[in-house]
Amino acid sequence: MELPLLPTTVIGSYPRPKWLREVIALRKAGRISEDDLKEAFNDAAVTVMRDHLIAGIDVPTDGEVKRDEMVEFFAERLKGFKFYGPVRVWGTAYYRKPSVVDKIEYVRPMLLDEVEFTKSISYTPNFKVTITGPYTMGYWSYNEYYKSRRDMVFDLAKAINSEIRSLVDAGAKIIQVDEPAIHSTKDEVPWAIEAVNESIKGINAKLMVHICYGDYKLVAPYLNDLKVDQINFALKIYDYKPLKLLKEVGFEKELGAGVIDVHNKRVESPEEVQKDLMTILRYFPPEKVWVNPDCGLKLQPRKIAFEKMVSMVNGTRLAREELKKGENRK
Amino acid sequence: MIKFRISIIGSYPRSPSLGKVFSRFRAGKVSKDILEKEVMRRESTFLSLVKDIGAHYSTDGLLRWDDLLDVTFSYLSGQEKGELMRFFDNNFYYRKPVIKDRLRARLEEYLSYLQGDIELAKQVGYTGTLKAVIVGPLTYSLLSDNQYYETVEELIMSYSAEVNSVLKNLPRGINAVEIHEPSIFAKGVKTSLLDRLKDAYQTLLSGVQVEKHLITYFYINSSRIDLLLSLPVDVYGFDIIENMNILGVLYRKVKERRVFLGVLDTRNTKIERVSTIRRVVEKAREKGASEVLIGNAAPMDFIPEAVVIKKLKLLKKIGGA
Ligand SMILES: [Zn+2]
Repeated sequence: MELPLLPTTVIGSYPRPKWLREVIALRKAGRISEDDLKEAFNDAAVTVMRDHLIAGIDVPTDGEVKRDEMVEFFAERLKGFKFYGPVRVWGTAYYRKPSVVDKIEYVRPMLLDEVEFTKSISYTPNFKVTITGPYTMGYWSYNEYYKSRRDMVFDLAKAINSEIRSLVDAGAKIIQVDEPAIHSTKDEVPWAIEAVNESIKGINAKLMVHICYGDYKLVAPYLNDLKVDQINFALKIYDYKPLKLLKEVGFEKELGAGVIDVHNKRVESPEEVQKDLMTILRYFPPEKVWVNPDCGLKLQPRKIAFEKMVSMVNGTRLAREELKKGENRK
Repeated sequence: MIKFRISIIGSYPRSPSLGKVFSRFRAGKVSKDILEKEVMRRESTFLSLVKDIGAHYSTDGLLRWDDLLDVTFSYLSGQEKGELMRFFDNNFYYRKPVIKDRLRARLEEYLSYLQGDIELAKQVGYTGTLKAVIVGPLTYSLLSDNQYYETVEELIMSYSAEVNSVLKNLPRGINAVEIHEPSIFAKGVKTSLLDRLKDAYQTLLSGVQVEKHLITYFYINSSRIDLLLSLPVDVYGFDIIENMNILGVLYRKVKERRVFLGVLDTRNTKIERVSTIRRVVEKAREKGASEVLIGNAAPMDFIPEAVVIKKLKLLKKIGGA
């Protein structure tokens, strides 16, 4: 894989262009066809890919613009799930939390169209495909069917494994399993790690896991057991405090370092990113560090999301130069 | 067959359409009046449901508040809204109260809401007992960010004293108070805090004439049941649907007590079996509880409204006014 030192990437999601949201509303109102919507989704993917290109992201995604939500999307396409209605997460924010009412089974490819299209429009063969991991899928669903959450999660792992195989066959070289919930319940972390490993068993691709907000202490001792190349984390929002913890547990994977706070509209400056990266490099060698935002950029206005990517890329370039100067001085 | 009296606790799901009105109000697109009208319309639907299932006690559904801690903003000053925090182990988040100044009771807003509830209940013909809802002093202190008081103990006592003056002024027509204290069973609570709790509750409830229901949920830590039962309230509430494995211990301790048993799991869409519910609540009575009230085990925001309605209607088969 041809990539510069400190490769830059995104976590996955990116704000949908405003016009896409309007097209979706038109489709909901029955005023345009499914084909029109599909075309708009593809156009949106092109638009996002171009934002990533201009910003200079080394490993882009399609912004997950075709997916409404990270659990719902897969629950709608696997057998065994049912939706009763939206639930609130806070204030006036809602999501459709699915219920598992039957044995979970893989029926048909879920992301194949998306990946094939992304491949056709990507400016690099090194695009990334994200998929929600088995623990997070299970944790964010109601369990009406299985004796235990563990049983449910391992069936999910099987289904996800089938899906990832088909994505790799279609040409995906970099797969990221999203597990933002993996550290939600201390007692369950050990088998959650096993389940993630089950979901990527036998997969020949560059593999990474995304973990964000929460108490990393709960998952830190198990990170090296994940059979992946890289784990990326939200770090900026914690002012890089978890680096010490990662070092202490002897973290030996590649580190995807979150250097952009996705919950804050303030755009980090390139110098700030550079400085943060130099802090990170005090803990981990540059060959083992990738650069990314803390989490998906979806919640920001598109303009801000774009500016944050630009700063991240420019800050990384400054850091690369600084490293080079250091080399030359030696 | 014995009928168990029903008590509906905590919040009822705020539907997305009501959520939208809140968003529009907060964006300055609709007036306070329109929001109020909409809240009252939904609350009236909720109270009709509660009436239909024959609930002896109920809250107003807490539709106007974003989360449990948000309720405290209508009866206390001295705090600001902070960042979103996870509400126990749920995928549900609340705004952390940040205590910036001495806490002081504010009567007007809270009491006027309650007055509105009383009138609405009359209009829909709900004749059960309306409960005012407050956050328990321990839960409040553990879920907020104290930037004012020297110690948590001091905060707990100050909170209790201020809320006491609210409770002593409840309008006629509110005949019970529901105190949410889930943190009493939380892990890692300092013993020194637990030791002060009895004092705090004496202060909180001194001179308060209405019935006092102390509500806990999600967990039961059996080593703290005695502490809970030492607090000066009338009804002790437990989430039993999520704690079936320790009912033996629990039931031995509630002899001659009035208890509330949360029998509907509000964290799972799976519908309970009436026979199971009946079995466990009858057991509590057999073991000597002087009264067993039944209802939802926890706030109802965690499952879709359609499922909540289905679950609440189950109560009708086991309970009644
Ligand atoms: Zn994330």
